[in-house]
Amino acid sequence: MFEDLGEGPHYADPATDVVFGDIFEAPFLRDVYVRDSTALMGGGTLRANLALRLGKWMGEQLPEEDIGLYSPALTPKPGARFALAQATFLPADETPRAILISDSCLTATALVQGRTKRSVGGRLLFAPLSVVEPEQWDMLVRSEDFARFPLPVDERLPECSVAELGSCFMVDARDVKEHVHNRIVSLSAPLAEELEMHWSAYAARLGPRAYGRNTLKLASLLSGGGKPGDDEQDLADAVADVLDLARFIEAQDLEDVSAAEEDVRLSGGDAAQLTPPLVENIIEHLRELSDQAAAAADCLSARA
Amino acid sequence: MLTAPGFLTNHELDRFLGGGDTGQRQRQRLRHDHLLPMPAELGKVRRFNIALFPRFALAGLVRDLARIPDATDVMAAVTARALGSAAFAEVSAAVRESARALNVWSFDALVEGVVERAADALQEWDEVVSSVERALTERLGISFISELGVIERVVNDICRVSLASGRVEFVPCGRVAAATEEGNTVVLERVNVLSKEMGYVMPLETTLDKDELELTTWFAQMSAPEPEGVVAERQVSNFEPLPYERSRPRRRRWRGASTMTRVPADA
Repeated sequence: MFEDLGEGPHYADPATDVVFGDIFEAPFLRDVYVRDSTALMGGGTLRANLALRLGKWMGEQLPEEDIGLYSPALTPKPGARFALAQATFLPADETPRAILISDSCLTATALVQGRTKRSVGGRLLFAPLSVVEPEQWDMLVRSEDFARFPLPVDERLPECSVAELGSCFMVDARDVKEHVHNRIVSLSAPLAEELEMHWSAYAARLGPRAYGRNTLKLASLLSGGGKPGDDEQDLADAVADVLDLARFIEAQDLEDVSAAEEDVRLSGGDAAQLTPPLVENIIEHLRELSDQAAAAADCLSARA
Repeated sequence: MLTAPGFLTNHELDRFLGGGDTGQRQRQRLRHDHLLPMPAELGKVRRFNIALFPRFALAGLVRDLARIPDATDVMAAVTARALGSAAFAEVSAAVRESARALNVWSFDALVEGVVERAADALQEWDEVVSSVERALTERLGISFISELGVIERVVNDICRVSLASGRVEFVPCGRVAAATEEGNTVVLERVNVLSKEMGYVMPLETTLDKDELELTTWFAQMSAPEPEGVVAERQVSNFEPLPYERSRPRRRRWRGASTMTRVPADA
């Protein structure tokens, strides 16, 4: 699945601002999720001196430090928002790592990066990182399980790390802001694009990963089922090429339009100057899309 | 006070050695071989003939004790010293009184009666026994480890004990000196002689009532470390790969576009 990734480097040191794909390492980054046992909890922090006494009563040597004491049996306080939930257990010597899945725009707003007249708030989406056996990592690269994104090797990450998109969890933006220094690495632009495609495929069954698989299925069907032949693969690839360009128009040309509009609306940019090259790009790509789509349709039609 | 009793009687030893006449004969044989130290004979109390042994006498049930040079002499000497202590005099008097109240032999009831009558002396005696056990560990390499547990159930004369450490121990009923009722809190007394380990289930010597005891055991189980350590869970995936693959990779001509990495300007 990394045909388009190139040689690298695939990672960079984190920049000042937090962006999509930044990888964090911090003890609190647990993939918390609910089950039907989940319940709101009351309780709070018990001071160190009382913790010692509690330990004595429990017959346990508790450390002389403040401890959290929570239970669904205690009255939940709306402000505290504590709930009993589930999480994956890691070996004691392993610190949880997680990759930011929220997009950079939402992240900038939540963390008030380059923003004014706002306060830090909301939640950001993270996927926990796991470590798998090398064979399994290779298999994930080959088979494209949309729920699991294998991360290329880097000395700052354990070998054979996998972003578990199927186990995403939310983190309060205030705590992400507090732990900006806990980032260990950022993704290169090509690797971030790979993650984006994987996430789109997992979350919405859309984008290059998803239509890549579906056009392969088309090739299989055109071949009468089973392993697709080369000619059928070419036919299906022609469809995928059309969708590549359509996606490019959406993710590049229209994002450029969006940036220019914001420039005009918020920063006094000149619409008359900014618009023509954007429109030219769109026209050019639409014409090419039209040609490619017609060609793909013709090929398919001939085959049918 | 939350330990196994610091003493046991000839009745428990006989049970551990096979029960009935067999157990009695075995005990006498071990006495003859000096593997068991000289007990404190209380004589007949009602219809029970009682001899008291310190808890560490359990080491003598592991015959390998004889292979440790001077072990039997050392055991005899430390036993005599321990049984000569003032605390033991009070404990043995309480044992006699407690036994007098028994209609049928029950080590649980005996211990409970002793706790009621001589809790302070019993605690002092336990300290004497523990200190002797530590000394035996240093001098002879014999180890004694007590672990709190709860009897889960008894199946085919095997008692399943759930330990506070989180582990589960299966102990033949012949090595259980406590009542085998489900939910009974007990102590597993492990004795290790030359790497040979035997576990005996004893009643708990405590002043706590049943509920307090249950609560204490529960907390002990909850805060016990995982015996195997925490192992990362395997990620479960419902993914089913296609039974075929591309014959060659496809390279996208249109790349480098993204909807997730652009940061719009501030409003």
